[in-house]
Amino acid sequence: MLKIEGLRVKYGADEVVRGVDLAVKKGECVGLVGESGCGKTTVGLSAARLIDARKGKIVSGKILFEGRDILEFDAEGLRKLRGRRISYVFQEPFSSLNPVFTVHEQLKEALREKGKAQEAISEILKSVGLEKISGKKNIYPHELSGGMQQRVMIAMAIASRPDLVILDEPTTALDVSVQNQILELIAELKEKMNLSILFISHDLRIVFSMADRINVMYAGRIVESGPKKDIVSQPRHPYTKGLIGSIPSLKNRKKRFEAIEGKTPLFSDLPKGCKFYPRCKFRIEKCEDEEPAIENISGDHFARCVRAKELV
Amino acid sequence: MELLKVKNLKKIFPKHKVAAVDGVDISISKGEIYGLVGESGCGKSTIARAILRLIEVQEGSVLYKEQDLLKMPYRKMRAFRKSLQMIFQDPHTSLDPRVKIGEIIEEVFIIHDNLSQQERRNKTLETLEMVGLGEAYLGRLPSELSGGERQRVGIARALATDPEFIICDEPVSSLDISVQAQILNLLMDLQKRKNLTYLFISHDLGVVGSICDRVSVMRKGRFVETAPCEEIFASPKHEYTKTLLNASRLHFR
Amino acid sequence: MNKLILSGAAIVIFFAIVALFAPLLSPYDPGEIDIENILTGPSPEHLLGTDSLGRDLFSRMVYGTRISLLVGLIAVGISALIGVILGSLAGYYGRWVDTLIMRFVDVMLCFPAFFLILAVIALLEPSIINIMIIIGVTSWMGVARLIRAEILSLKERDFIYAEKAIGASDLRIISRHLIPNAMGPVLVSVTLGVAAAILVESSLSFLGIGVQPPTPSWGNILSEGKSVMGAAWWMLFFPGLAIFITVLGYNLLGEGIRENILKT
Repeated sequence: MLKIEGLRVKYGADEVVRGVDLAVKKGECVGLVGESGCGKTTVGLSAARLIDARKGKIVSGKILFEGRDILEFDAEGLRKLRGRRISYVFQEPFSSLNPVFTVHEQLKEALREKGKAQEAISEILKSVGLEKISGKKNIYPHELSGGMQQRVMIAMAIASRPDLVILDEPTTALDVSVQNQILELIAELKEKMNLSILFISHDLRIVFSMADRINVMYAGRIVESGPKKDIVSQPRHPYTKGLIGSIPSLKNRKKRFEAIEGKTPLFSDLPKGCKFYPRCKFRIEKCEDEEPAIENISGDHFARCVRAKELV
Repeated sequence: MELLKVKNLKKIFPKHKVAAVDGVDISISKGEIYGLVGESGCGKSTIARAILRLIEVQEGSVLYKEQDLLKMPYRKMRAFRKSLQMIFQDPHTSLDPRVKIGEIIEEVFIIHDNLSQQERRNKTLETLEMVGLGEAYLGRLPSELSGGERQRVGIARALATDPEFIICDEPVSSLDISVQAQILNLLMDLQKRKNLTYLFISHDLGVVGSICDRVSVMRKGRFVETAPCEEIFASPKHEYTKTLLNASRLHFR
Repeated sequence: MNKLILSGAAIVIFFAIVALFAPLLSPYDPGEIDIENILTGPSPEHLLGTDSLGRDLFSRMVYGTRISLLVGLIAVGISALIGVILGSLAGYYGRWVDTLIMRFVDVMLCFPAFFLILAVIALLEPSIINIMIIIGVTSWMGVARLIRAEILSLKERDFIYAEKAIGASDLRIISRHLIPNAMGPVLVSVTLGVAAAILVESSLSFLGIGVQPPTPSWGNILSEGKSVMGAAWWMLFFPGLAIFITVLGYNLLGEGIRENILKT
């Protein structure tokens, strides 16, 4: 469905996406996880060609949607692509909705076929669990809670019956109890509509519960990728191990976390070799000079670490 | 020994009319980490601020070593502030953007101790080193620091008065997960080293579960459940606790 | 930095230098009367001409710059001081302190300021110091409102709660943490205020109740000029131009600061 190859994106002088390969198959939910500033949102925005041209620039790479490179699309082609085939859900539901239009008006905009709009809108609102407002035409975004707003955003995203939905931290701004409802809704819609999803989040726990495949991103590159169960039970990259060690768990109650030391490097000041080298517990001399290539571990599991095979 | 006892605390914000905190009782022993879990707007931050008398409440008492902080004259309260401190949620708004890191910490010594400039500098450095920050940070502004580093400064500021009791108000919820683990480690280390007592506030039951001894679950200004952590996780009684537990994904593996 | 700030600052700095080095720049004593050269037009000896007593207009303009700027700056200094103190007290303490101060502001704003100044001057004698004080005490209300609004939002920020938690006194919180963070908009207001004060001083002097001759100010030169308007255009043109450019300079600078520095 979606295949990103060798994507490089620059913001000013900083290259924040430094060669990313990623694929989303039909009906699959692929997680892209990493911490703030690792470039994950930029990857998501690039996949829908939503990078603000004044700030950032796709330097090289291919973004293949059903085999066609969308980087070569013209404005009209892009409009059709984004309106019908690819949808994007942002982190902040409130700032993503236009406050001066009603929910109905905004949903109508998003519909692919405008005929029988009223019925279609009611139908969509019901499908995202908003039966309460499906009959009401004059509801404005500010009258809804954060969770309901995010449901509206999701309704808008699926209104055009897209094939691919990119969800960028869709529950981060919401309360924990509402988070779960939204995630359940996403999972349910995915099954029902056979959606392909690129799920971007900083929260490993959420990605683990949603995604079939997981890509871990660090300093602008994928450092590990593989099926969920491999990543959870046998992480190979020291960064992935550190992230998992940082998740609170009841087994290690009142014990220190196996945290990652140090801090994320700035894009303007990246280490020369492996970008994780200065923080890595397992580093060897070789890591300092050369950034390792991503290597196959087993089956569909890849890691960008020279010691990946020995670190079990 | 009971260090802090909150009795029937009530706070109504005049604009909202509904009680933000509606009759809450807490009792915390010396050396304990007491968790307070709830979602945004449930009143947990209001409790934190009320205990330290940063806001006024309508009813209730806060006994610290058997003295009621809420009825204490202003001057006496200022002296008590040394032993009760607070760490804030958002390290971006909890540090004055115009004041250098060294001065933020030094200010505490200016207020409370009568020291020479050299002694103050030494103590400032000592305090920063406790949280893993060195001399290089003295002259920097908050905007030049990462979120995790700023939160360390916030912790250092709280430690500077050499307190016994610290309220941690969502100290890790705006941080990345790897930084969160670093800060939680730091807080646990400091607690052991200095035998501190924490009231640890969070919306994340997972975080609370991994570091606290006891926990209260709060909803709409009231406690729905209070129990030792193991008990809450093994057999949550209240439906709301179960919802939060489910959302915290403690059993993701 | 953009064009607004640069051109504004250039004008402001130019006049500041003129004021500072007035004795060096002026070829004649500004009070020196020369009966033989009354109302001569601009010439190599008298760059901007002479007035009805034969005094060198250029020299008088240069010294006038001193007076006009001094009055503007000190008046604004006084108004900023009052405004910042009252505004921060109102914002920080709220309740009856706020009510009292803000109603006082409303009352002050009810008086047409210029007539208030006229009335006060009529009672007191119109010395330079009195003018500065009067302009100052009748123009602090804008600053007070700005500071109050800033402090109302700043005092709910966590770093202020943190200051209270470490036991900082109200005085320390207000002076070390609130006011410095609230000064941005005040800076703009003060810069614009200088322009306004210079205009008020010029108007007062023009009406003959401001800075009194023989001390030169742009306003009273202009005032003298109006009686000889037909015979000596330079007596109106140059002081008018100086006032216009200076006011423009401060306004440009103020707008520039607002648009560039405060937004970032």
